[in-house]
Amino acid sequence: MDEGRPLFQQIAEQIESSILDGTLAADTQVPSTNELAAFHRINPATAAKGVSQLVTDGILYKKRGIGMFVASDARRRVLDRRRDAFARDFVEPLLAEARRLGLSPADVQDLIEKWGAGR
Amino acid sequence: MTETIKALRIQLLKPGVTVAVPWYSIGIAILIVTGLFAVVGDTTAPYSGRTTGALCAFYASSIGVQPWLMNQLFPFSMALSVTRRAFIRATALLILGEAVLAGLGLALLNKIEIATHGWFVHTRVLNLPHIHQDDFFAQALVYGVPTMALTTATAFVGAVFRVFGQFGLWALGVGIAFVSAVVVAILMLTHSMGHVGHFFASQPMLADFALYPLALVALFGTGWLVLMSRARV
Amino acid sequence: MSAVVVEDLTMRYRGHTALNGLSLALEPDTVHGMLGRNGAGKTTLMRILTGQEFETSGRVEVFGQPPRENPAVLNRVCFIREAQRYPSNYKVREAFAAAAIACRNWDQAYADRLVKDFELPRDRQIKKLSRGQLSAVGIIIGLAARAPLTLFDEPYLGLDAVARQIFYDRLLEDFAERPRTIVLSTHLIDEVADLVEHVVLIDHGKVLMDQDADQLRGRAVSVSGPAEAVAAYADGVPVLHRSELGGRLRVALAERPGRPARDVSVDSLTLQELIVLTTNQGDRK
Repeated sequence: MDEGRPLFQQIAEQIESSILDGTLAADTQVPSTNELAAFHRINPATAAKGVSQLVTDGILYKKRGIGMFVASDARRRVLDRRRDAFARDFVEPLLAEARRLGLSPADVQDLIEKWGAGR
Repeated sequence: MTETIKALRIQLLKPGVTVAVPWYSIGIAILIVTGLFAVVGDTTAPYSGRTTGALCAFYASSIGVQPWLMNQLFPFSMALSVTRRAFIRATALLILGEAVLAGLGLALLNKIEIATHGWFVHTRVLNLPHIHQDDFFAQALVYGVPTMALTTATAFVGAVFRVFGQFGLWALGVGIAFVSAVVVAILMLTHSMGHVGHFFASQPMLADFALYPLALVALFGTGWLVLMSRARV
Repeated sequence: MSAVVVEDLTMRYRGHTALNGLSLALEPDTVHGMLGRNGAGKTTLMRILTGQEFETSGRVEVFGQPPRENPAVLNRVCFIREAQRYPSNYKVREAFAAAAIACRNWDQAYADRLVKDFELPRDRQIKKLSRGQLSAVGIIIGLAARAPLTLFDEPYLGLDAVARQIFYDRLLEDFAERPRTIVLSTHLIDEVADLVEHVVLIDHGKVLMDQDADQLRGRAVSVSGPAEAVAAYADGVPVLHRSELGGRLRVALAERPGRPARDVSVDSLTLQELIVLTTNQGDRK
């Protein structure tokens, strides 16, 4: 696991990623807290915290006595949230650095088109 | 009480160590002695003439048990969350039980020895001249109480090592040597050595072998209790 | 209710103060990491909690009762010490037999499984075991005892990395199935950083840090860059450590101040780095 950030957050993000890429479809059961803990070799309470955060966010829901399931609109919610994060984590620093280098947003857009086309 | 039983069960987990060793020793001693005299032959020799010191084997082999308990089983018992009190009570029970067993067992062997005319070879292992009692239970006391005095003393020595380590043993040895030297010197100077010998000789045998050893039990037992209540693990 | 409550606990022994007014509460059904330098007082604290040693002053309660000579508490406690001693003429299985008598929740089948995991020779005499095998005996007793309060004090002397991983895995697995209060004292901080839920740092007989482990993660940072920029960024945040070299400054901060300015690089500190820095800082005071 990554050293820098709270483990429960990383657990939550990994489940989100699985929802995004379709590994965990809507209304399927997610691994139990103990399974997550054993797999990642972390404390079960920490894993539980990650899962319960997703429940609070409406991405997972609980079936009493069975376990946790993926909410039907989970993928959309995750996507929205990741898009917000994308703007904050990537676009903003990108434009800030561009400004320092004397590049206007239009210049950056040109660069994106050029590099994107090259791929 | 359940705690004490628990501690006792742990002590008896290896009965070969805690209980049986002196009995192996006396058994082997009897076998060797009778074997020896059987080879020597001449079963007409007077019964009184073949006194042996084989009984010492019984006592000598029991001195290791208590130091083992105090220094090896005590720390382990504490690790298993046995209370100090339970361990001390269990040990006291064990000492008492072993003394009763020693008394009755040796008295029984003594009966056999007499009935078989000295294990068929006219030897004396248990029925020693100065300690004979006609009554079975009095005889058991004569064997059992000194056993208890000895095990209590070894428990005390074990506790001294537990609390004060090697230095404690050394100091204890030097201390005992010093005190005995002083006592002997006083007795010599006052020409009363003979009186002491005479005193014990004039006492009933039961007092010499049961009552006075009991005083030693009380003495060493108290010392042992004091030490164990402050023993660290 | 807390599993362990300690208030103003002091322990002096032969002129040495091992615990100096220590106060602490440990939540039940949690894996606690007890960290600190050698001689900080961790072992003394655990010995008092398990009735092996008696405090000089202060209040100690385990499951709501004082542990001193108290079977009601001690029956729910198991403490495996660093270099735990066993009767040398015991065989491995006899050590387990004794534990089976003493420990109320002892699970022999589980102990047997662990013996296989650690490849321990059951019939060998304790005195013929290697240092690592001896540690495995303690670990097995500590796990299979399933005591509501289980304390491990540096339980893995001589144990190789593979065996230690087995220990961590089994500990987590069993804890998940049967939650209980576990205290793990160790110097291998990075190895247990993900296992423990709560961290207690003890230094000079006192509690220096008492924190949720996941909260600590990523909170403390190492910041470096041009001296001025770093100083401005770190303004008002407790500094754990600072070093300067030719106009460049590096500081360790107890908390991440926010978004860094340009040219200032921010790296998270590992739990181990944080513990070392906090201890050093505590020692300087």
